[in-house]
Amino acid sequence: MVEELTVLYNVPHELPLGILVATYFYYTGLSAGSFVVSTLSYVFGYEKYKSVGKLAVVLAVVLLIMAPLHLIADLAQPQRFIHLMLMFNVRSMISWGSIMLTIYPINCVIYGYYMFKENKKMARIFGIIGIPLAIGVHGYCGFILALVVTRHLWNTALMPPLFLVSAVVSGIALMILVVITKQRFFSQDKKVDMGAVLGMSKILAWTIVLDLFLVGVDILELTYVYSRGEGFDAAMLLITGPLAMLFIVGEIILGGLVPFALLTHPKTSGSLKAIAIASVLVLIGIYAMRINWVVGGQMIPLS
Amino acid sequence: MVYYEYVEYVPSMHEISIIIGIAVLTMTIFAIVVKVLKI
Repeated sequence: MVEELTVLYNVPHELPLGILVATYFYYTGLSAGSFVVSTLSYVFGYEKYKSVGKLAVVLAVVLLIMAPLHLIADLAQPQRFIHLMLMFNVRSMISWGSIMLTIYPINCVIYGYYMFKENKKMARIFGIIGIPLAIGVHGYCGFILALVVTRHLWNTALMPPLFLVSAVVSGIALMILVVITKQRFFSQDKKVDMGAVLGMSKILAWTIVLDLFLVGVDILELTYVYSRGEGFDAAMLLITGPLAMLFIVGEIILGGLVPFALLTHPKTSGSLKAIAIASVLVLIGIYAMRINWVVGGQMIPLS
Repeated sequence: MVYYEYVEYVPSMHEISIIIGIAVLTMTIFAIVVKVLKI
């Protein structure tokens, strides 16, 4: 006799990409954003940003050299990272990423070299080469996630632009903080270049708007199109689930709306203190965004 | 209807100490390079 059985079972689900991978994305984003700031004067000719160009390129190189350490530390056998360099797969986004992660800092060093030699022509050429590389280095991070079809939070064409815009946002915020700290506390005249800081704060304010717009579009699309499917669940994870606090308070309010208000309100937009606070909040918010997207994308079990 | 529980994730102390270590190392290297290059 065959009895009808109800089997209850549970499968332990692992979360392979943790906070180390999220932090790696954060560092590459900061690097790409810093590089963009450095090109404002040496590629696009905005002279008021000249004082921050050299700092920005040094920061971009240091951050990008340190970023892969998170990935290497995340490997169970760290020595195997060399496989990515030796075995190229044309259809693998990580293979392309490994190449770009090697070429981009080399290009940054050459670009910085000509910048320090005041060879504007050559600095401009390597700055122009560096822009698509910077976009590639961070865009590929978005692609890695976007190509995972089973993870609904990631599987959207918005992921690369979202990662790119948040990279620029966090990079500019970090540059503002570095410039203020360097010029206020470690320079002889203790005078902050307000022209450059105010210019960067304006760019930061409007890139925050673009970032919030992309996040909003992504969440709306997930909640609407899939109507009660897994995409809906992924959106609810961020809106009402365990990541709601980090998403709504950390990423949207503290990391987006409050800094935007501080940077655009007539009473605070010219204040160095308010700009510095806004930059710190943006850095926290973008870090929260990296955790939300990387970890959150894996919190809904596949089976 | 599929019922599931969210996969839980809490960063380990090992991961947090690596992140702090790399952050400190990054800031130190940046400060040294800025000092050496006299930016």
